[in-house]
Amino acid sequence: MWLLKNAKFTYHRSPSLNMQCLMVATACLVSALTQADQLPSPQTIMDKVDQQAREVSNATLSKSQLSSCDFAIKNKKVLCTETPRVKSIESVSKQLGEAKKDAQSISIVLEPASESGIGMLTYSYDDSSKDTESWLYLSALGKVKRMASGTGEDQEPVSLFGSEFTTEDMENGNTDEYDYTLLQSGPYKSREVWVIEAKPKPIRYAKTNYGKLIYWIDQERYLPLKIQAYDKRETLHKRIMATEHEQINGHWLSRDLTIYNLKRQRLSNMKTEKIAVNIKIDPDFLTQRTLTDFAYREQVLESLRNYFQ
Amino acid sequence: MAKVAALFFLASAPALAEDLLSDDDFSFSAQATDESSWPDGLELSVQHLVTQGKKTQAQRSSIGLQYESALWKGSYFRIENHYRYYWRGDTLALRSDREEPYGRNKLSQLWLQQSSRDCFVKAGRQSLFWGAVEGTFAVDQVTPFDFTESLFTDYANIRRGQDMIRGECFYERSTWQAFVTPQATLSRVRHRDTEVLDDAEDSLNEEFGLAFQQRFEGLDFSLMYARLYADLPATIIGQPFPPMLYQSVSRYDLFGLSIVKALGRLLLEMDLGYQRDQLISISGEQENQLEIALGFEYTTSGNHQLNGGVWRYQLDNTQVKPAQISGSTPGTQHATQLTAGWSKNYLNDDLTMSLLGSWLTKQDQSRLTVHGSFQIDDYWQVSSALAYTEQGNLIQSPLLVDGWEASMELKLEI
Repeated sequence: MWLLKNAKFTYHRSPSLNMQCLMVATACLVSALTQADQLPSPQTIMDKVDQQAREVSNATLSKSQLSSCDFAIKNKKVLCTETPRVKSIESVSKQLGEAKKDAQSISIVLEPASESGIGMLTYSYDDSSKDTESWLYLSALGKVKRMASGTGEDQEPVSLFGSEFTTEDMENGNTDEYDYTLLQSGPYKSREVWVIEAKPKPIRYAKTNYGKLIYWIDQERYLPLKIQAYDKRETLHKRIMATEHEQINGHWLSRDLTIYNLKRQRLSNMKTEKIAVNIKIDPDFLTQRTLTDFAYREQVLESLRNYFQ
Repeated sequence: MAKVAALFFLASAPALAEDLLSDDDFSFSAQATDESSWPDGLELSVQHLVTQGKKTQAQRSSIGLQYESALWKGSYFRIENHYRYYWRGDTLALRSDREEPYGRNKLSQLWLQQSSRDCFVKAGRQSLFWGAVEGTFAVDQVTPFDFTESLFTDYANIRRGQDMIRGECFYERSTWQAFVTPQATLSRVRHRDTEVLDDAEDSLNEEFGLAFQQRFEGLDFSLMYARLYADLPATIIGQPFPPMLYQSVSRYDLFGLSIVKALGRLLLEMDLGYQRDQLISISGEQENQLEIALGFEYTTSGNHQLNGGVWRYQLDNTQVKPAQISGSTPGTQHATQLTAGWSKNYLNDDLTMSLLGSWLTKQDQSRLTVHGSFQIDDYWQVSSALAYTEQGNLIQSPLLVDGWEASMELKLEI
């Protein structure tokens, strides 16, 4: 009977990732790599970018598609050199606490078929002494399993569903862990931007893969248009391009993000296909019930989907 | 060459201030997906499995269908069905390499769920799993097993779904659960020559149970009770003169406790199961048995996943070599199983590698399994496993035999 321990051989995909960011991937990634008014200070700019990202993540339902592939460039177009791997994910999240820095989220994999139905419920806390709580629904067993995620910051960043996005790229609320410097300002792709360099403080340096980051921040929308991430030898590692910017309920977000891993020649594209922001979410929905009570889950989601934009 | 050009193009990061505002003249467009090309909720799978060991072999192909949908507001329907073809020489299912190949259908799930207010009711063919320590069965005793399935791959199929009515109610941090199985079922160890098992199964009545779970911050606490039948009948010597063997299925009460505690990246698990009036083979006496399982799971900073556990339970002496049976314990003997495992994902999570070791201390049975699973693309997956077993003082059975055993499976899911 002990052979049944082979159950361990199944889904071990990124249990500690900050799942609320799946749903508003674009906004979260932006704030993740930022981590912080009238020629404001770089710190103030990045704090505002981060705040907007968290507001976009608050009470939000989204459906996202995550595609990954090896790439090459032909005629100034980036092309996949293989059939992209595609995952489709539907998520609901809510920010809690006075500073709206705690988060509850639930994400369900819709595609591919081999992972369909897998769901994850996550409670994450701004208080660094509190562990992230997460439960994984194993669709093959029909069973909910508690995961030991730690604080999420005390381990190597892991890939988000096998993509080039990592859990570190998805973090937010960490702007106080970086020193920011304004490098330049001016027009970029027809938008006025600030170019800001972020260098991790010692508290951050130990747990990051990046030696520095450079952000191109839209001065009017407080939205990153481009981010470059460098390794600890200051070699360019990843480039992130944000497009399809849109204002929803007063908040700006980018519906399309592409991350290029220049070391591995691999890219991932995260497209927010549908999104509803600042909707009323029943607190009971962000509980274990939603992982196993499919009838309840579909009933609530169906009503929330009416708010899709 | 294109890759080199791409690297140069993208890596030419602006080092000078005046470069920072230059336009990046390249773009990527994700391929649009055709949402209407496949019905929502429908999944099909095709797989082929080959297992070869010193004394066992299996070769089987299967086609699977899954469909799930919300039929009306507050409801949910799911069906999961597999048709398997067992090729000649499949000793796992047939228990003989001389039998003709054949096909068999298996309906593992067919249920309708209706949700209202804080509760749901789920009726139909389904499985129910209790307990926290994986690979142990101190409290996970509700749903019987299907031992004709390969244990190496696709472990979801190794349980035998039951026709059951189950209800659950959810409150802020607690859950109540109740179930009734009108006609209990037994585990399956083979497909042919099952008359004895079938007769025993026909004699069974209902099973029922109740569970309560309370969730605290970083802690889950569960209590369970169930009135159950054993998964397999016990062989009893009925009359001293002349001795007469017959089969009887134990009817017993299970009282269970499960605790899961998360401490950073460490997960501690405990299952405690007390079985009242468990029937003992040969003597036919009833005894109360206590099982305990302790386990841990730990994720390292490099995302290696480690697990281990100890499970102490009562082993039926019919599974032990006669020389190892003490006269003072004719029915059962203590067994302590130690397990240790490791797993990690590689290659963008496409490759999962695992290692699992197990040792039954007193009976000196040990087993080591290496497993690898590779997701070729969004549809194709190949898995393989290699295991080595030493049965020690246990009687050889078709399920576990001494020596090496290798298994490989190719699976398509759409």
